[in-house]
Amino acid sequence: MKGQIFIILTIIVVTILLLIKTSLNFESLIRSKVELENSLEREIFSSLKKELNKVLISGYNDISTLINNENSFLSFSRSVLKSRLIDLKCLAIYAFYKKINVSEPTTLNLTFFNMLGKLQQLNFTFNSQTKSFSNLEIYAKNSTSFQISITSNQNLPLEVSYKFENEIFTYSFLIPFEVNKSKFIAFFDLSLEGKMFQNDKVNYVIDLI
Amino acid sequence: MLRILEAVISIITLLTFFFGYFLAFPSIPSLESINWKLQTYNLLKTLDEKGMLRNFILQNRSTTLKNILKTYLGTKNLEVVICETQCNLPEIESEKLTSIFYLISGNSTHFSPKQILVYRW
Repeated sequence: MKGQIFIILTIIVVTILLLIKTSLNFESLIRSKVELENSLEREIFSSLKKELNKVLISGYNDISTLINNENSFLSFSRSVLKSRLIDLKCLAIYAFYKKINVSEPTTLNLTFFNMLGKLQQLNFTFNSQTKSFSNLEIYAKNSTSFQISITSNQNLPLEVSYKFENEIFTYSFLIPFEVNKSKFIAFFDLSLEGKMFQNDKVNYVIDLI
Repeated sequence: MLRILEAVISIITLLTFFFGYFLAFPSIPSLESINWKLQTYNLLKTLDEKGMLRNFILQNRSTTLKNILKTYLGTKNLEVVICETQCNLPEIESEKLTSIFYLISGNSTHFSPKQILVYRW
């Protein structure tokens, strides 16, 4: 009987450990962890979008400063996030125009910053005019312009289409035109890939004095 | 003699079970690290929304920020580093070391991208 106590104790220990193991819901714990990690990445993405708007405030009213600051902040963010194994991609488009007089031709200036990767093709279509760029490397910047005549306040679409990793992406966003006003519009096509993939398109409009 | 045999059988059964137990099943995921990261990130965000974070970062007042975070998070094992992209990492030896970052672009008058790194162990 004294020797059998070892076997009885073994059975008790094994039974207790099995009971503990089966009472733990592993799937639920793993799901909770993934959900928490995802919510942190959602917070990071949300903060990044808000910060891009804050950059506009700090460089207020000087177009080249606004563009340089936005591009610098995007590059800085990409670098920091990369060290955390999070990939930030972005196509930043800046559209701006000087004071509009009714029925007089106005120039809509467009500058872009490619932080997506190598783009085979990038097209902008506005007011039936198309401007194309090809073979754009990462961090490439370029500018173009469109002519337009405005008779009243209106929102006009700027269509963007690009070919990236053999896939074609097309979307448009509205440029608000206001008579007697100068405006700067910053548009960001953003994606963040870490534990999860997030993408969003945001635009911010400020009046230039 | 029989007693020794029974003891050996018990030890072999236990060892076999333990190996199976720890190798065949996945380890229990720890939520402590990710919970702490979220807690710290949300605190930094709240401090930022209340206008307390940016100027401290821009003035490089890491000690002040460290004390504020220690108070709110209720821990002494905390280190704060303010830097741009190249950061001097503190020498902390702990298996439980974890870190979180928060990015700022500057304040309303000054553009100066920086990150604050908070380490906890």
